[in-house]
Amino acid sequence: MHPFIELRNITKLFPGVKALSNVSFTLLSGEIHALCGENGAGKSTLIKVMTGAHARDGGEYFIDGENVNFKSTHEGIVRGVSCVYQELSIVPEQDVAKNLFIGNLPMKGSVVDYKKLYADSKEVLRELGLDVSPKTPAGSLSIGQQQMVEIGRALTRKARCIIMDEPTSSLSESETETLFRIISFLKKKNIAIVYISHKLDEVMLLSDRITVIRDGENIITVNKNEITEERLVANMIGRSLENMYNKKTVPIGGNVLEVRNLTSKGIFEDISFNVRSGEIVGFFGLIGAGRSEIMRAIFGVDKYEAGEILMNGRKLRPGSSNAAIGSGIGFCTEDRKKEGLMLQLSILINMTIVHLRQFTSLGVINRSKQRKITDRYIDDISIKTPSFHQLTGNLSGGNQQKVVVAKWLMMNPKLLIVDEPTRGIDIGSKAEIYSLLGDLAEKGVAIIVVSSEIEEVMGLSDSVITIHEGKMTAQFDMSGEPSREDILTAALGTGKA
Amino acid sequence: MKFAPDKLKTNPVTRFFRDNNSAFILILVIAAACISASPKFTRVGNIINLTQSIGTYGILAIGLTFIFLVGGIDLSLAYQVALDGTLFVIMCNSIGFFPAFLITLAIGSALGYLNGTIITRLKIPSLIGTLAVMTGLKGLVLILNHDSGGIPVEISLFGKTFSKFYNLKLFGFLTPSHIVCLVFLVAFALFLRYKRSGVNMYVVGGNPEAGLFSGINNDRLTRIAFTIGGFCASVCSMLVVMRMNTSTYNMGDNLDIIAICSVVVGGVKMQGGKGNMAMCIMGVAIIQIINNVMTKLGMRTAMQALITGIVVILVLILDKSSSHIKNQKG
Amino acid sequence: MKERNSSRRGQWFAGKENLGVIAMVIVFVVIVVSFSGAKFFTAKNITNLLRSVSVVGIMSCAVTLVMVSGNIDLSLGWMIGFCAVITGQHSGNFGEALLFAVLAGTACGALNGFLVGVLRLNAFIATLGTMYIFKGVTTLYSDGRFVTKLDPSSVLEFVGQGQILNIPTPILVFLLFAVVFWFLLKKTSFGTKVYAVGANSVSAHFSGIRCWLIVLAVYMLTGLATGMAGTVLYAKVMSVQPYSGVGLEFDVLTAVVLGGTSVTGGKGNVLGTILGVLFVGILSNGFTLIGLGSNATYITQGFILLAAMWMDVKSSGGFKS
Repeated sequence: MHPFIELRNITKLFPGVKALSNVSFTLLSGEIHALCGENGAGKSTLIKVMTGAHARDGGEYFIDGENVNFKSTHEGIVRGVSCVYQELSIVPEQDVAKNLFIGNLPMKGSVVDYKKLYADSKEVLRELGLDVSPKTPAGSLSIGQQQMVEIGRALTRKARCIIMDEPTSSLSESETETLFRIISFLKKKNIAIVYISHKLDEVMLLSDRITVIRDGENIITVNKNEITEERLVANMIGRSLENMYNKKTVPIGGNVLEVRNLTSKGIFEDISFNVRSGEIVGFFGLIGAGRSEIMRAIFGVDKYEAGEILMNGRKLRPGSSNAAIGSGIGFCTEDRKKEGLMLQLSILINMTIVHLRQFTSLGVINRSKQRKITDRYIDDISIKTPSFHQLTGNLSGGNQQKVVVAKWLMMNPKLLIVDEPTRGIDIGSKAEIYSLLGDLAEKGVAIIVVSSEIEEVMGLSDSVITIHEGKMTAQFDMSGEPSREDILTAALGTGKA
Repeated sequence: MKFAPDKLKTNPVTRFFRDNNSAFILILVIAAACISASPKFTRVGNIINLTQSIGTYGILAIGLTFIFLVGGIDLSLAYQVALDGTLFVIMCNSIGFFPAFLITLAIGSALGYLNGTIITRLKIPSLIGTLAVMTGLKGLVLILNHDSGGIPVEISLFGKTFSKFYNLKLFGFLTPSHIVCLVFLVAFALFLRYKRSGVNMYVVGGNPEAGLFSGINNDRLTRIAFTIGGFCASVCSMLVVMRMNTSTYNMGDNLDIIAICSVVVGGVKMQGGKGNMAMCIMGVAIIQIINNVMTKLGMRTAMQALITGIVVILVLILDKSSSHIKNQKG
Repeated sequence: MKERNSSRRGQWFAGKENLGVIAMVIVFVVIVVSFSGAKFFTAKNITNLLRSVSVVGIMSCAVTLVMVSGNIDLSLGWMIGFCAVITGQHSGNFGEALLFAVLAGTACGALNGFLVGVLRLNAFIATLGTMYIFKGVTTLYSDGRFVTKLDPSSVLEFVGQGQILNIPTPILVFLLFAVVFWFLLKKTSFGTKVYAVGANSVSAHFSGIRCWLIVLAVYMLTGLATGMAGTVLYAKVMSVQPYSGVGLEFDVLTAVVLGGTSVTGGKGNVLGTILGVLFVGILSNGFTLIGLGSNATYITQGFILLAAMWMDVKSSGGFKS
């Protein structure tokens, strides 16, 4: 029997880059096949060749043993290759049923068959265990539910293979569980899954086989039980990673930030903690637990109802990001494309926008000073770019994140809040970001790291605060070497029960 | 997993009210105010007049609704109306009404198609594409109308002048613009609900990437929407010509702006993906009723403009505070 | 370090290909017009040309800022009408006329800025709404009548019809505004913030920029410039119809867009806008000189606008929202 998908020696060229060279990949019906690799390794290009979004420049593509040549993603969909995109493909104003059958509406003669549309949608929603009416506008669903709708969409198209690109990156814990349940349901229906994730624990948990891609080449394809997580990482980055976090011991000074009984009804309650200079405090909790919201309140972009925030002993005006910045708080947000960067503007502007005052006299910018300092920062934190005139939209994820960090470094922050600093960036860049944060702490900057990766929080922090459903459940001093389980239990809120 | 709030799973009637709430509140308030303010308002003759102008303006608004649905804007509509109308008069005077009628429809649709093609082929924002077309059409219209004059209609239809024909009443109240507008409303409402292209138009405006990944031909639907816009503009232009019995270089002026304001007041989203025929005609009705009442109250046109502007802005503010679906694209 | 600096020039040129098109077309039109025997290169013709674009020019420089901030202003036509009428009503005293016109313009701009910046309404529709409001106010104020005064102030006359060193004053006013707005956008931190807001207002907000304030400011500046433009408009002929600005917003939009400013924000500059303004002026002047008439200008202008946009899109690989 043929495998469902077989790619042989696929090559894809972009101007000046060989994105894929001689990559081969097979996908069997009903298997869960994880695709791993760093950012820029060529995973997305490979997927795009599979779905038909990119034409290949060399090699062969077989479906059920038949040579195919897709000219559009639609042709791919017709042959059973569907992809679940994250934010791209929900039409918010349309109802769930129309979203499920987008581009594939059931017709009776030449008119849309609404009876069948809603009946079929109900059936699909039931199969997925998604308890919403097919007439609900899709825009009012949670992110996780929207993703279910996308998976449902693949089902309505009789997909035989569903490609999931970082499906859990913005899901809460319970939503992730639901997703995993659905994945195993799909597997039972003999649908093949290509699963792409930076989260190796998920990869090890779910997959049957794993393919690693590095620099556009196929490194290995193995059965899951033939490989360990460490060897997987070594294959992905081409070397073994010793200790990514490389935690230094830094003398810790006095309180920089004091938060007292911070409350915002329904979002977080009674949050109190201190951050001292040179200290890295980790905030760990599930997505949706209220971690980012606390940070937004501290930074002044959201309002809060009760409590107070003190920077260096002085009370911070609530609801004013300007006051927060003025008192020395920097905030690297979770979503660097939407909140962190201005993608169509240059590195120069992006890096200096927060603290233009530094280069300005009487409102006029001193260009040469601005350029000199920007250049220094680009060198210091080794952002790979030909020029500070480069648009940030053209940088890789890791370099973009560095620009975001640099933009706050320029104002010499006393407190730096970093929210999910390494989401969606490759392991090499991760290590660089970690060492950057370490250096900052060494210089006496107080740092808050918000993360949903427990290794990251444990490896970086001096002290870890766990948040569950908007409440602080515990604070651990890392010098006491708390166990991973203790932290997880506190974050899941199961400790007291 | 949290469930969607209950209020979202309601029956069609409540859903209709929810989707159109600001427009509904307005229309009720205004209607009440009108009836109490001016007894002249409720006279049969006035109601016919009013609905007649709702019909004429409504047709242009219907076309605009389609353009808004796919996330476009058409700045050239005013000059499309002027060009269609001018050519219609010229052709009526030379080759007779029926050929002129058919050719004008074709020209209108072609102009719309031209807009759609320019935008989709050159991949430029519709604001700029139609600005360019507007500038070009303006030149043509001025040349055809000999700068600032107009061209009077020299023929009659079934032995009646155009303006008599425009006011012809079937069953004592149905004028041509009533009939055309009603037919258009029903036909296009059915199109939007039951034809594949109609339903897919919401995808083009709501999330074009989703369309692209689902085999929906966004460009083709955009062209169709602009073509419908051009088609409606030609029908509207002929009605305006009939009313005035002449063409003028500025016969389309303000029509497009009124149409844009009306449609937005009705709740059609300019960024695309939201709107229907009910919203469209409701918006037109609100603006026309306001104007009618103000005229009946003897208000000066200046005052009317002022109040129209305030209404548009009020509706925008109301909409902003009542929108229940967050704009996901930021 | 050296590498980075050397690539500056290339970066500057990137994304400005459409300006190349415009410059080429300008040269082409000028050559054609000159060869057809018309007297294009006479001091009189050139000053006439510049004088005719000065009003649109003054406004376009300010509107560039609005568009870079990702917004649009469709209320200009009646706003300038309002300011011109006010100038007319006070034309006996220049100081009074200018002060009231500029104040009125700035107030109109503040209303736009409040609606778009503070209430965050859709700029397109909100300014259509205010257009109606300004229309109403202007017509009420002027009673819908032609405005003129018999004994206008001599300074006002000088602003509209005088010259300094043989250069008509309206051109100098345009020049002054061009320099000021170029400086504001290119050299000041305010200008950089305008770009930031236009490119990504959420990110700008997270960088501590008060977006509402920036938007309010660019609209108020536009109102201020429109007030000045209104004064010049009146002073040029010492009379004005309240509706004489209708349609001007599209001339301004055309000039700004031709100059390479993006309608989605974050991109554009005042130098380009000046080129755009000059282009529209030269086109219509040239056409009139060779006897084609202004109506044919419109048709050509439409084509050129499309061509310029098409070049822009080709060079940048499509518009992205």
